[in-house]
Amino acid sequence: MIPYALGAGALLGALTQLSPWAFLGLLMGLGLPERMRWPALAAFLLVVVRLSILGDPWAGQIGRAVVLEGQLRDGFLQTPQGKVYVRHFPRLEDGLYRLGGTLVRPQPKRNPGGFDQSLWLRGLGVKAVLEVWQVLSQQPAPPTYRDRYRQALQAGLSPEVAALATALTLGEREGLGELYGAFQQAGLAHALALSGLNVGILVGATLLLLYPLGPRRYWAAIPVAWAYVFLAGSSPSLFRASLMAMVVLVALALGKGRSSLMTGLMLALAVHLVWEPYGIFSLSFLLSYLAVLGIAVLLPVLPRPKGWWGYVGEVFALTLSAQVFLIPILLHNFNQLPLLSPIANLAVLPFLNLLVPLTFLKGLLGGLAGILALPVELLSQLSIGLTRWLAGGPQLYWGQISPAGFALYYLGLMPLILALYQQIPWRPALLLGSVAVLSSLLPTQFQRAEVWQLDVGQGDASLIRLPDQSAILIDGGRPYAAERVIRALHALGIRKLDLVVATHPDADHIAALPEVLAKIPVARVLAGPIKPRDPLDLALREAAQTVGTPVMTALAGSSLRLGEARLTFWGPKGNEPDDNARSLVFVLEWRGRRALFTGDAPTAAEASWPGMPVHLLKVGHHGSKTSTDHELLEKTRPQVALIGVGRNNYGHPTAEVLERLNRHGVEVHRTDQEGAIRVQLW
Amino acid sequence: MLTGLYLVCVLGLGLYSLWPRLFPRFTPFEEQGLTASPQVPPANLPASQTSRPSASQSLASPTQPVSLNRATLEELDALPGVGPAIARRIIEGRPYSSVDDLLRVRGIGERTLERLRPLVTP
Repeated sequence: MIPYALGAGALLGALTQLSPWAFLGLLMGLGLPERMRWPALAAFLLVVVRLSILGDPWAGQIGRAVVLEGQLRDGFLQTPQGKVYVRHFPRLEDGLYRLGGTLVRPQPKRNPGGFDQSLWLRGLGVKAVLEVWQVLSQQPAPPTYRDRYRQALQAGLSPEVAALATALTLGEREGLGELYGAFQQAGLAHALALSGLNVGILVGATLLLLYPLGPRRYWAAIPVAWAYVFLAGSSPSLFRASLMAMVVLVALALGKGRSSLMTGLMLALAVHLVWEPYGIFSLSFLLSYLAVLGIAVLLPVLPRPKGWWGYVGEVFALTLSAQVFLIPILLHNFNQLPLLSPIANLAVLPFLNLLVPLTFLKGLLGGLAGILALPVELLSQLSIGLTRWLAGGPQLYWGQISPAGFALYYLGLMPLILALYQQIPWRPALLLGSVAVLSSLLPTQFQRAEVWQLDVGQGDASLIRLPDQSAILIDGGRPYAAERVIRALHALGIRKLDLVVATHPDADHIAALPEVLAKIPVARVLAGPIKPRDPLDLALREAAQTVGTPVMTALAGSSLRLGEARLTFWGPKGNEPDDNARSLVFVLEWRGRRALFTGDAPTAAEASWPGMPVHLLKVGHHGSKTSTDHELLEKTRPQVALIGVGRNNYGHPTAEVLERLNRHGVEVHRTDQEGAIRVQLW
Repeated sequence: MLTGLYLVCVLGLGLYSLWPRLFPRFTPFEEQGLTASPQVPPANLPASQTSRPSASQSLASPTQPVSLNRATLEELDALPGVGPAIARRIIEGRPYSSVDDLLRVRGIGERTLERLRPLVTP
């Protein structure tokens, strides 16, 4: 039981980073038997002491100009003071550098599904980003053993296979490109994370080779595992696997027999968190530990068939037990879950398991590596082909999951696991589990329509999501915003758009839409009158034509009903002189609630709109003083106003407009201050 | 028996609500006063890219955007609205992670940026 106490104590210590309330968890220690209390407390204190040693080396220097010197590797500069992430375009090659720049804190995410630099760096224990202004000196890094190893590994292989081999042995996934996406969609991405498989094969081979040494061979195998961590670089999953291998090896060397998986996992957790307490913020740390936890908890008790089907059953049971604790985390972060995952694991994993020792040996052989090129090439091509094929299989799409959703999932799972352990009978367990299912279905009946103003920098992108799973996108921002919009759609669980409204052909409104149309199925595009010879307008229409989406023209008086929502167009008349004045203007009405979307329409156009109270106003022209007149606010009386605005030189949003909104008592939200904004049509 | 029925109901409900997430479908809609836009003749498309109404564009090659981070002083000087002084400031202001970073350079305002946008890359 002591390993459990160590693991739990260390976890509690690491959780103090999240909230000081974790210190209250110490009270639970009073309930523990004496024998476990002290190890738990010791692990807790070790983690807390380690946290205070790590501290924040950059606290006094944030926002200041600094000159830092050190070794740059994979975008991180290792200085005597600590590690910083380096931002420079183009990306700097590895080497020894003296860099001048400003130290800033990492950016939190600004859109649903956006890249969360701050969380990513937190999981790596990096607390600052260096915005480089000047490279003062630069020396290329001397080639390391890793470079020579990689060279031998890749010799004689086709580019794609070389990338796969490098990922399987050294964990470098950058070269895989879209192939990594195929592995994800087939449910095989876990095979590309260095972990127990790699360490197990390496340690197993060492033990076989050193068989004549007797029990001493267990001691000899330990440095081999750590040499691999040194070669491939420490990722959470590899570090965990090596720690667990060490636990097994030490137990064997001391003649204690094979330790259980759970013991190894808990001891590894304790050591890992004492060394890297920030690991709890890292997604791969979480996935790695929860997968092994699932295997340790479920695999021994899952029933499986005997005889012929035994192997198939074993693989299914393994996939299921490794995934069962991960499913909500995977859906939350990657927004899709491959349903063919067990079959993919059954079909492809054996080849990958063969490939790992082959590629590993190929890198070690150096000059003789050519011998292994052919088998590696053939096996890899086979695995890649199968993976690509399986990646086309059905996926479960899901958006981000609320904390309550996570809780319901694990609460629903618990009675089933207890039933497997014969702690409670099956019948009440199933009933308890289904209560969780039912209560997770309940809120879908009470959903509201919601409007998102996405943060696309200077520009506009608004998204309307209705409870019946239909979605409307209004504009998308500049071309670079397309990826943000697509990621946000996926994170919100939106896989298709029922309508895209392109208000007017300005770059900060519609330039992102062609890429969105290419990546997301769209039923229909609404645009204003054709603007002859305008490249943006043409690009949009061409993109729609390529994917076979009809483009319709909407003018003042047009209307459209989509499920419970109705869109009524107030503009344009179609004969206005400039682009902004030809903006599509419409009111969305859903169960009596109204939201007004105005594009960049100027005050002259506003004068012709009917007087009708609305609840939500997307402020025209990013808050420019040429829109949003007193008269408009008077006749529409909005309660909430959204402004899509980023860093700009136009002075948007202007003080005048903010003042007008303020005088009418409108609650204002700006994307430049808050990131993406969500408003429910309450 | 009753338990079985109850479980089938729960699973059925679960599957019913999962279905749209497995196979997304478009919501049907009704329209009024919308007109289908005429199709863009394919012949128009390539032509549109060369006939952009911009007189200054002839100075820079339309196919090869100028890299803000790598271009020489002369290449930057050749851009519309950029003289030797601003070109030097662009070089001093390197690196640029996006074209919008040009706003940092003294002498380049929103209007020049919009003119430069199609002609440069970071």
